[in-house]
Order: sequence, then structure tokens, then C-alpha cells
Amino acid sequence: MTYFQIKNLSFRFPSSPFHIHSLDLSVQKGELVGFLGPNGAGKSTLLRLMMGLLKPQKGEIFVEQLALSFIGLRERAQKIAFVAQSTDFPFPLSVWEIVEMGRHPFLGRFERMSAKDKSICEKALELCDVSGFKDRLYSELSGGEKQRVLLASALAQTPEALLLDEPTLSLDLEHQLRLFEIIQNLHRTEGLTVIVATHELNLANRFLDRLVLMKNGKIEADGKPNKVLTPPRIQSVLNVEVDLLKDRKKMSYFVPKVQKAVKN
Amino acid sequence: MNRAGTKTTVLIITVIMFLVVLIGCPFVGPTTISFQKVFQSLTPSVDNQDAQIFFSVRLSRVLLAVLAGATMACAGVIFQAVLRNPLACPFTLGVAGGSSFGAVVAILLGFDISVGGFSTVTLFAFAGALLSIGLVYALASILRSYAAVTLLLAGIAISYFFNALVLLSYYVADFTQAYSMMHWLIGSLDVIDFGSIEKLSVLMGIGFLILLSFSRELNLLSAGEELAKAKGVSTVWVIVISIMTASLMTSAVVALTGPIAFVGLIIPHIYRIWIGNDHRFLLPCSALGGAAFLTLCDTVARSFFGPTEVPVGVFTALIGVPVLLWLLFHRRTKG
Repeated sequence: MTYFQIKNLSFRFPSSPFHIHSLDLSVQKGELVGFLGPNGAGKSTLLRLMMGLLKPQKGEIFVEQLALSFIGLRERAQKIAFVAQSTDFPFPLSVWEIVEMGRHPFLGRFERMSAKDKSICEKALELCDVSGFKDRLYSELSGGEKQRVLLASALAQTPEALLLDEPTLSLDLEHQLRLFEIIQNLHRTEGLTVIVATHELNLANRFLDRLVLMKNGKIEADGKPNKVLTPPRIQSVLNVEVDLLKDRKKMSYFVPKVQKAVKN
Repeated sequence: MNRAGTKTTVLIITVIMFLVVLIGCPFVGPTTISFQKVFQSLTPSVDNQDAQIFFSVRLSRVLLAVLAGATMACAGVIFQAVLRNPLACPFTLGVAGGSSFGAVVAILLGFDISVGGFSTVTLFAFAGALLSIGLVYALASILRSYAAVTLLLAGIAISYFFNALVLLSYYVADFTQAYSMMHWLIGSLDVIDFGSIEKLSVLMGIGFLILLSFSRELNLLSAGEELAKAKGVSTVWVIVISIMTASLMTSAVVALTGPIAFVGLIIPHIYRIWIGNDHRFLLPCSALGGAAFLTLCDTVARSFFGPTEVPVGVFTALIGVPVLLWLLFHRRTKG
């Protein structure tokens, strides 16, 4: 069943050329998809359009056959959760206060969190492996922990689909792996439709089921990781020559050739 | 300690502090009055000097301080949250500049009419405040953006513009006028009648409840506009309603008291450091804390410098800055 259906989508920021060009894409319910591509390819913009944070100039996005522009903000937040690149907040916030925010779309103006809302938050913390520091201040956490708290806040929305914008940015290797493991686990056990915009070729290749390779606001390739990620295509899209290595389990790894960044 | 527990405790402490100040401060002043005599019902009130001082002089002024302090502190919370700027205060969007200009013009023209019990200066100051808010909104809608940066820049531009006009008026004024202007610009509390206090408190009460009903949206909005929107907050709606409400409340108070500095900046910060950023607690705590703080400052200002009084606007900063600095230094050790 199709969850996201994107039809002829075009978007530009004011006073800029088009950033997304008549793009078509559909994502099935329960898929685990990665958006890959160089900086400025339109990955983050596409995610924001899919969350309704930006309005397209042309085309439409359908969520389960329903046009996104006809779904109210609260209703949207009940279905889809968006995790932006790890940010800092201007005022001190505790981990619990951030996770609580995820229940906002379900609560009436004067309604308090019920025991059920609280247990949803607890479960979200647990799934993201951060239940230990409920009362700690967000600003005092490490980058990896911050990212997992933001993910927990998104899960507290009990969404059907999860959109993540470069969740592993500036994380060390261990935390990158841990985050992708959590994402994979969510997909498997909770049946979430997950879309991750990322620069991590090897992690995407290893953890995700389908990859969409983008450049200049267009889709260059779309399919199973081993079909999409080939050295020639990586060179043409990312402008980097790579070597393809295989481990004993036949898993592919891409290693950039030293000082072989192609100059145009 | 568990943060939810801390919040409730701080709210209770603040309520107690507020009640102590509210009941205690009317007894403090240059003339000593006795508790028993004030509430002695046997003596007719015309002859009971203590009761007269207590009710018509001090209590009315204390109530004005309560309303003004609560309003400024609440407005400060709102402006800091919506603009996501810790340096924002109720005057950031030009309310002080606009109302000062109105007041200064009234002093310069020397009209002496009063409408509905309010003086010309008050009415002109209110009009000036509304004018500045209107200009900021007009600028924002011309630019088609209610983003924090747009509002901040528009507010600062309007403030500077009106401040220049205030300086110009000050320059051309004669000595007596200049003195009244200076007195108004520092911000001070005067005795007003209970009727005005009643009207004002109804307005402030409604405003406060509107703001409080946006608590959770403010929590999200103060964390970031995109985050709030992604979690289902209609950000533009919340920004416009809450800023409008806070601005109108501030305008009404500033028209009566002049731009009393610092309450709206420091009180929200004291509570942010103390209990964090949960507006369900931050708003009521700041309101009561601001009320207590301004009342205390005004009691010092009117009591210990006899035979004259010092405008309270001087003391808010003199007392407030050390408190804020103390808290800033202690936050580190608290972790």
C-alpha cells in the first residue's frame, strides 16, 4: 500500500532557482528508505515538503491518498514525525520536557498528560535507549544522546511515518551505528515507514532497504542499495571516485580514493 | 531533585512570598501605622488616620505595583519565548518608545483634560504604545513574515525612531516640562483610585488567562518554530495572539506607570534558571514573582528616602541586577 505519493513536485525558495524539479516518488507503507546525494541535492528540502513545513510551488504530496495540504497541522503531526538535524535550544529544557512535546498533537488545549500519554513517552525513551536521563538537561548531553532524545520526542507522537534529516551528522562511529540500529529496530518491531536523509553511504547500504539517489533536485537512481550504489554512479553523483570492497559476508563497502576527488 | 517536584515547590514558595509582600508592604512607610488601629471598626473611618493611610494611600499603590509587576513579568516571558531571545523584554517591540513619545507630547502640549478618570498623559501614552505595536505589525505584514528576526528588527527600528522623537521633545521642552518628562520616563507608581485598579485587574486577568491557555504551544515555540510546526502548532496564530495580548497588557500598564525597566527582563530569567522553561509554571510564577518584586522595590523607593520619593524604576535595576548575577553564578554549582 502506498503511503507517500509525490506527484510532479517543484519547489524553490524565494529569489532562488528551482531546488526540486517536477519530482515523482512513491513510498510504500512500512518501507525503510534512504535519501542520498551531495549537499544541495534537495534531500532535506524534500523531507520538509513531505512534513508540510514548506509549501511546494507546483505538484502535490499525498499521504494515504489524501493531499497533504488538506490535512491539518495537528492531524499531520499525529501521522508523521520529523526529526531535524540536532539543534540546540535557546532556553534550558530537560529530556522529559522535550519528549513530552511529542504528545502535543493529541492533547486538547486544557488537557493534561494522562497515564497513557506518560507511558507512551516512557516507551519512546526506552526505544531510543535514553530512559536513564529523563531529568537531565538536554544542553548537557553528548551529540549522540541529543539525537536520540530528539528521536524519542518524535516517537512520542506515535507516528506512522518517521522522517529523519541527517540524524548521524557529527556523531562518532559508535553512535552512528547505534542510531541506525535503533532506526532499523523501529522499522522491524514497530512497522514504521522510515525515510532517512543521510551522507553515510556504507551505513545506508547496510541498514536501509531502498535508496533514492538525488542530485540537483532530481532523482538519479532509485531501488535496492546494491543496484543503486555502484562506483560509476557514485562518481557521477557525488563527484568522488570510490573503490568497492567486499567483506567475507559479501557486504559491499565504498572507500573514497585518496586525493582523487574529481575536479569539474 | 525531580523537576516536576521542583516546579510545584517553587510555585508554592512564590505564592507565600507574594502574600507576605502583599500584606506586609502597606504597613511599611514613612508614617508608622498600627495593625490594630487599621482594622478597628469602632472608630469612624474619617477619624481613623491609620486606616486612611493604609487603604487609600498605600494599599491602592501596592495593588498597582502588583498589577504592573505581574504584567511586565508575564509579558517578558511571552516576548522571550516567542522571539526565542533571552534579551527580549516587554519593550522590545517598541511599546516603551511609543508610550514615552505619547506621554512626552502630552506634557509638552500641556493639555489637562481627563477621560474616564485617566489623565492626558496616560491616554497619550496608551495611544503611543498602540501606535508602535501597530507599526511593528504593519512592517511585519508588509514583509510577509512574523518570524522572530523580522519582529525583533521592526521593534528595534520603531523603538529607536520614537526614542529620537522623545529626545527631540525633551530638548525643546522648558525646565518644568523636562522634569516631568524625566520623572515619567524613569517609571514610577502613584496612588490611583480603586475604580481604575478594578478595571485594570479585570483586563489583566483576562489577558493572563489567554496567555496561560497557550502554555504548551509556548513551550514548543520557544524551542524552535520548525519544531513547533512539526509537532502540530499553528505557529503564526500563536505568535500573533500571544504577542498582541502581551503588548496590549504592557501598553495599559506602561500608560499608567511609565516604562519601569528590568522587571520584565529579570523576573522571567530568575524563574527560568530556577524551574526551567515550562510555561504552565513559568507564567504564574513570573506573574506572582514580578508582582512581589515590584511591590518590594516600590516600598523601598517610597519609604526610606523621606521626605522625597525616588521613582521605582531606579530600584528595579539596582536591586534586580545583583539578584540575577547571584543566580547566574550559582547555576553552575547547582549543575
